Amino acid sequence: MYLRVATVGLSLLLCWGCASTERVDVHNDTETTVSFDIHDIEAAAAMLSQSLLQARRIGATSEKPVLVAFGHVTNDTCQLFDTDVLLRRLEEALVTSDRFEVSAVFAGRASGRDDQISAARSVRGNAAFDAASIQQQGQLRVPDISISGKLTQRNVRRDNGGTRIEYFVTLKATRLADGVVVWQRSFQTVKAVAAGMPVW
Amino acid sequence: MTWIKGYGIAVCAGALALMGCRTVQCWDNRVTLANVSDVAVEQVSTGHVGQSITAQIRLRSLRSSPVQLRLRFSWLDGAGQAVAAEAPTSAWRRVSLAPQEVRFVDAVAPDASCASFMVYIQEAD
Repeated sequence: MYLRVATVGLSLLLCWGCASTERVDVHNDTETTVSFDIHDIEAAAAMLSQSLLQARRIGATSEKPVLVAFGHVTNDTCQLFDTDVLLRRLEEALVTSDRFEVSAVFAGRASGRDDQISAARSVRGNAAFDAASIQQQGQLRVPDISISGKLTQRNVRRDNGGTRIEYFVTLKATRLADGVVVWQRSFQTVKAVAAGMPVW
Repeated sequence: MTWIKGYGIAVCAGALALMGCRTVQCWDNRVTLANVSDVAVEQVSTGHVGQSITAQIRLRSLRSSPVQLRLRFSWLDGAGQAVAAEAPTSAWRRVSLAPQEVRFVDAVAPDASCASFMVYIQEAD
């Protein structure tokens, strides 16, 4: 009986010591994980957005901002990763800039489109609505460029039996008027794990 | 003559001590180097892309081994207020320097209201 009590008590003590949740200070966090994690997303978004904002061939000016549509970015990795997480950070950089605009009409994913745009226009002719408040015809704009890309993963065996996981994010901007690529940039990050560790 | 000799020895000793100390070199108050040794910020320059300012810093590693840095640009408007502090244009970036390498790091401001910038550099773990 004493052994049973001691076992239960010890188990409770162990659970009490192990069950803890902490908030990670992302700003100062230096932990490295095997996945394409938040640090990699932020670093990719920073590098890609900086490159895009400095791309002279796009010809974006504050007098005539370039309208951007985000097309398909394919996730070809072992990660259950929604590329929207990366694209929304890029959108944030472009929306903040006075030389770029982002289309909510044309987008490769439903999350990039705002269905209220068509909903607000579906009430044309409906007498219940103030006609002056309804969007006029011919106001929507077709984008100037489209951004698309791919996230790829390669697993490379190391001499010590471990694995290097190489992630590549490649984005390109295509001028829709003539189908010409006006910007392209890649971001890479490499992780290394010991033998026997999973690669996702 | 004794005090001249002593003074001369002290000056030489000080110079020798400084030659052995390769500390951070940065003369620009826009750059903050946090606990980074043997890395010099040799140049800080600005330019323009359209009406937005750009910044470029030239880093030089004084080490005989590779070094990884984390750096972050912060953008300020004409009133000294931070602009888009959490946007990707102000996110952490990693820069690796090979031994004795000189590397340029550039950045563009988030919008045309930015008039100046600051850079924070620390050594990555």
